[in-house]
Amino acid sequence: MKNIVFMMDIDLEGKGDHDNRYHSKRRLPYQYSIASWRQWCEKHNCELFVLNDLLYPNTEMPICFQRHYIFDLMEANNIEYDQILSVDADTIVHPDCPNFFEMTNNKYTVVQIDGSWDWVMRSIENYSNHLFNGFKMPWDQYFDSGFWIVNKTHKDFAKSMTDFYWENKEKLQQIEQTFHNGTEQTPLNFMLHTNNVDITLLPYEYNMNDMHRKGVLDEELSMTKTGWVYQYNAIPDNKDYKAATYWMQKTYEHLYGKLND
Amino acid sequence: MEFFMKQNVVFLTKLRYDRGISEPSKNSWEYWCYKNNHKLFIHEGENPWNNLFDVFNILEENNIEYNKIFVVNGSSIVKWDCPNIFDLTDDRLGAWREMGNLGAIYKDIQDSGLDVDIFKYVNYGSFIINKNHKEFFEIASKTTHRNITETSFQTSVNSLLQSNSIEINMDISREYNLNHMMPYDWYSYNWQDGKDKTNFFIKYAYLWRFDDLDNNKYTDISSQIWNSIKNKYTSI
Repeated sequence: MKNIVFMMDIDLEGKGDHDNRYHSKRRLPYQYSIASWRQWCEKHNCELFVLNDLLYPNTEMPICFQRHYIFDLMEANNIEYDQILSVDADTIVHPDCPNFFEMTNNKYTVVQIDGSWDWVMRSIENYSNHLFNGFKMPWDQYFDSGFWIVNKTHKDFAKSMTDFYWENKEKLQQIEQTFHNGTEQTPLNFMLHTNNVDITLLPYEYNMNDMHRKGVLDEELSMTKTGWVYQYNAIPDNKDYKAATYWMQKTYEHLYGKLND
Repeated sequence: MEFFMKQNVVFLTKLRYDRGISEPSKNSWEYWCYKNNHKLFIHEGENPWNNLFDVFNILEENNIEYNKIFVVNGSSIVKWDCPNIFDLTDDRLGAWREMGNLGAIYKDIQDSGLDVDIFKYVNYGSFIINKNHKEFFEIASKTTHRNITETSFQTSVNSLLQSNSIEINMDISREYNLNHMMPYDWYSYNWQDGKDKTNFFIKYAYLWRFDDLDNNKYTDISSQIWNSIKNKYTSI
């Protein structure tokens, strides 16, 4: 059975304000992400699954919660699988990235985050105070939900995530709209702990978030010498997602050549 | 007959330039060591951190018996209720991964010409060591390049650790070596909800390193912080 790399590439048709996180323009550079993962999958005998349609309208259930239907999607499409990586489409993988599926110990596998701890700690505190009855997860295990690896033993947990959403839909939307501390990422972090799910925490180089802060998002593409998976978030001056598009194209062409070559 | 009782030792190296932090650092460590029955040794001198690898000789010259040694620089303040750090370690050298300014580290490794694995690169401002590391420290004290920039010194230290295949325990939580607090927003607090204006680093970490503060702000900020917490260090 193959391991699967699962991505979502969906036009949410957001318009207007360039800060709109669901703006159509955000999707423009995803082609580079998908192309990089396709080549990594070929090298490691994995299957790439790109979802192009929402399961529910985004207003009904935000897109990031919908990916927790991942096991249903596999079964509905008759896909046999061993482990599944869910990865954001604003990432590029290095062609020499080691096979992280071999590092999971069959646990729920995520990557250590390092970036604005102001944002993370506010998110932890606000979700703790308003939804998790004061429970707080250990901050040094907090991860970005743009990269997680699961296997069949995590089916029940995935269902508990979607159930949790439907049971707390209004509260979740209210917290998101009040504090802007993320949609699904912090609830996922919390839920893994409240459900006592064993976690493997991979080091930062397997999902390099906030690269600008670390001084590796530069014209020399230092990130390609210091890690394996690059996530193009928290980029300053990213109006209309032009900066993200610029860096993703530049990284892709540096590592793989022109798209469609 | 004099009896020496072996204790764990905090080896605190004073900073070359005080910048207002040395006294709070010393006070916090005095309190914490007394509370946890550890020995505090304060290492002073021209440039104490350059004597990093002379730790064992310095302690022995001062007739100090030791079990484990926590070598930490004087930009640190330990939180009053910090758990016993020595209980978190095994016999390996305890250190924390350094990747605050990953770009600078990468360039420094390139410039140094040294063969250093950036994925195993550790911060050299906090080490937990024991007698097993004495031989390595002796080798290192003879080979470290002394008159180079601090970042290069750190790269040199990492090169020595890696080339001598020193086993490193990098699993100790970052709560016990929180650095790069300014660029990573640790001075902030929850300004959205409630009245608690306690800085996040005070609430969520046990050992704070102030070595990345801007020189112009250093004294002001360190004294503000110390004044806000110093009453926590007075009762045992």
